[in-house]
Amino acid sequence: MERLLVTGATTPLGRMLVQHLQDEPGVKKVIGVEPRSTTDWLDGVELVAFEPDDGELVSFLADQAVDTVIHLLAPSRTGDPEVSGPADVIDCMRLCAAVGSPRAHVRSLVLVSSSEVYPIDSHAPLMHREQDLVGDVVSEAAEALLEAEDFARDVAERLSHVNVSILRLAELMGGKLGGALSAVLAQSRPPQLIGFDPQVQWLHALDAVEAIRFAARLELAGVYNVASDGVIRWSEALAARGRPVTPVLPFEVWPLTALLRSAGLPHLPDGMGNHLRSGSAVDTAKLRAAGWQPRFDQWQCAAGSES
Amino acid sequence: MSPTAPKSTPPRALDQWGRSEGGVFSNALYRAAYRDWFRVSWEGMEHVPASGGALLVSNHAGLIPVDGSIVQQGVEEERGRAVYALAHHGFWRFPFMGRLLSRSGAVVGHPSNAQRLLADGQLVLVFPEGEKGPVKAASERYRLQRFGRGGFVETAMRAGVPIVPIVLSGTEDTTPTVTTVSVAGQTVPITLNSLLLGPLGAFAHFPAKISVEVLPPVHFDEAPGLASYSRSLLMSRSEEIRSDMQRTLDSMLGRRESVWKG
Repeated sequence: MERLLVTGATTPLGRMLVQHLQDEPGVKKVIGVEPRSTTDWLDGVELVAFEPDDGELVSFLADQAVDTVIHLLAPSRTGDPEVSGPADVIDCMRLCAAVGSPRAHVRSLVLVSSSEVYPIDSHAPLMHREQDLVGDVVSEAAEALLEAEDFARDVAERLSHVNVSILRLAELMGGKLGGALSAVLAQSRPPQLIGFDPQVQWLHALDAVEAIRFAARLELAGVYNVASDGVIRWSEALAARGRPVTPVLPFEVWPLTALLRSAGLPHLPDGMGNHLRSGSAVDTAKLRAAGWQPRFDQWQCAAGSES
Repeated sequence: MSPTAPKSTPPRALDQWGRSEGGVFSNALYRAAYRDWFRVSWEGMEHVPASGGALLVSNHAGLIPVDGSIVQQGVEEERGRAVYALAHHGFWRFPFMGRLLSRSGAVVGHPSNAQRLLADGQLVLVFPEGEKGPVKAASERYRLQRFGRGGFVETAMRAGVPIVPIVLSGTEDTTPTVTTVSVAGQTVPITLNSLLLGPLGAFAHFPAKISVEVLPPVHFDEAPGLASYSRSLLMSRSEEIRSDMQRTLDSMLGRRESVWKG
């Protein structure tokens, strides 16, 4: 890992990652790729605007002698409020094609996917293992992520000289980063559904950066879940954040929910029913067995600790 | 971003499966029901392993089945080990019910949950009859229902753990089914308790004496962790275990003096 290319480099997670990668021993050059231009960029890091085009990207990888590509696939896991919607499958496909070209000298591809690939439901496993994902594709976001993961897997199967790590990140927390659940927790009076206290889980942004570095450094092959240590109940997360418990109806009751919402009273947040009833968490045993340890636990994530 | 927030997790009252550490089963009401109401007695408790993962397999009956709690309570008291019981995920859709079940050591019956528990060296209780046990017709009294497709055998083989069959008698006399009716496509047993005591009778169990017999562990030669196991092998192992359990149940019932005295 000497010359790296990082996509999504101007997203909050990408930025942290690039910063940390520069300090990595042995790293000679970090190149950020981002379609959007930015004036506020990091010293010593080259930022290239990349209009996805196969030919150009292959030449660029070859000219720059890039040996490691880190692709931030999941918009929901980069902490960028301006980027939302499902992952761009075509971008990932083009990148995989370029990485797999005989002209490029890429040895390692790290695909940063997300735990959104797993269903959130009462009949889902309490903690998802990497191999548990069978059949049911649960959402548009999951479908796009899984399709993109498949392209990366195809590179791994087709080309023995390219190592492919796929990381499924839990919802980020820390600094300005966060996702849907973090946004609910950040409310002044976060709701707790009456009769439910699910297990939830976050990934501290610094743990995320470390896990990506770890996977790139060790050239881990295969799919790995990534989360900070343990799981936490929603009520414990509220306590950690120092928020009062605001009980709300556990189901959407039309027109009651609409009335509560318009009156600004506590109600079940849109689209968060399954999160707050069943919860969701991943089993990180596989990544731990490879030698990775998170620095943060769930209480620290929920509390919003920075160190 | 509360500055007063502690820097690390305080001790948790529930484990990662949502089970309350000794909470529910140290409850006086549970203990009284176990000892004084059902007067539970055990034979062969030594067959429950003192350590390591094992799949406990038991018969399942009664409108509001008590078998799960009885196995959990007995093994916890006499072997000092927690038992996680696999249950239908539908219970977790209802407010409070899922939390209560989780606290008492029930876990959604997903193969992945079972594998993770067994890999962690835990005891997992499963009812291969599923809901067919509790809703069976009065004529099927103390007849074990089908053991599905033998998925429980696959679970044990894959995890590389033994199966420990556990047979309970007396449980079907706590809420004896008089007849079954079909409501919206669902079979609902009408129990003697309900006939005598009304709808709440479903929860009022008669004080039948409950006897429990643990059979020797069944070990498998198959390698754990395989991608798939022979369907016919699973079915034949499942049928062997089921017929052993039925034979044991018949002999227990044959030895019993009366429903109340055991």
